[in-house]
Amino acid sequence: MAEERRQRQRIMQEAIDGQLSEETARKLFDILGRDQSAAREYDRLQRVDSLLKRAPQQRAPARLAAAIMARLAQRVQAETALADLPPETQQVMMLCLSASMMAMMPMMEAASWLVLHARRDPAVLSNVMLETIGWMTLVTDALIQLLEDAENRARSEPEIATATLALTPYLLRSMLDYLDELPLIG
Amino acid sequence: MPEVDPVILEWVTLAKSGDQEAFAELVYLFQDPVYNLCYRMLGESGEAEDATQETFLRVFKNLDRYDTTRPFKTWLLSIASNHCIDRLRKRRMHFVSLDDDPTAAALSLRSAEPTPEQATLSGEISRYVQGLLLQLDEHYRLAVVYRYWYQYSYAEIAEMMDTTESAIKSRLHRARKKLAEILAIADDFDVEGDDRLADPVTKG
Repeated sequence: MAEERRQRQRIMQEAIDGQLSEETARKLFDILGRDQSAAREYDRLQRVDSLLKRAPQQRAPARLAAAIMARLAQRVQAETALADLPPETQQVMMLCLSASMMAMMPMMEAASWLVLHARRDPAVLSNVMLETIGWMTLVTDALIQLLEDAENRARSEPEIATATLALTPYLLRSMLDYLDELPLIG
Repeated sequence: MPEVDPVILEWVTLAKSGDQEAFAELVYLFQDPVYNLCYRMLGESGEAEDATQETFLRVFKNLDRYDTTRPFKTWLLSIASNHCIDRLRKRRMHFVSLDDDPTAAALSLRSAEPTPEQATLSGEISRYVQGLLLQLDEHYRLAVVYRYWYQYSYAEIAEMMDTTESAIKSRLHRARKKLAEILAIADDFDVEGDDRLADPVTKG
């Protein structure tokens, strides 16, 4: 019975796709003629197909292309400016960035752990999500500020730039201290 | 796969060498299909705009990886769809999915009801269909979008989604079956007198 139903559904889907042989099409019409629930099912599949075919293409807003080109020009300019830095400074900056990312890993893991362990309780989950998003935003904003500052300084004083980035672990440490004080679970 | 357009290939070659005007030609030519895919996948115009911008920035950065024997549009849409799926995965962290609850899905179509100023038939259908699409898992949704908005064959969709033709066929069949189930529940609500759930084609 279940197999017959599956086969009937496959034939209906192939009919929608216009892939039925004449013989199978006759078989389908025969089924539809004698089985009302199958006829209703086929009717709904046809409605779905018709709706999907009739839904129009969404056109891009008029300003979109200009916005894309503006962002592209900005990015190319920023990359060119970074490429102008001496290769040693670029390498040190990349190294510091990698170190910053590695330093963030335990925080990411801690956030995942909190979310996973709070799933059974919607109220706790909501609290954890809000707090997590809050401190992640705080950390990200602070890191972005630090990196922008380092990048600007790197052009004139490469040593100060690396020193600025060296502050990252202290920044993350203070964020963790802040997190310790939050009453997240239990 | 259709043949590669030599004009597009020339723009791509120029853009690879850093020519931003040539890249702008590609943006103007393909912004609509990319935006439509992002909108259909993400369901929200602001996020679709942002995803379209990010797609083109990624495309510019990765032009060297473009295989010139494949149509540019296919490659572009693959990048857009991967980006949208990434966004949807991130979003899942924040929202409870309706995927396995067709009744909730049918009820959520209430939000597809158009406001008077949006009540043109094509706008109505577009919003209603969007409400339906959002009930599908992202990989099913993508297969439906490729099939119905871009008329790709099963084989082409399989190549773009890095899977088999039979898997795509199965995804499309299951997607339409699920949407039909949602319509069936919406019909039941309709019979009970709440015609806000009725689809815009049949409600007259």
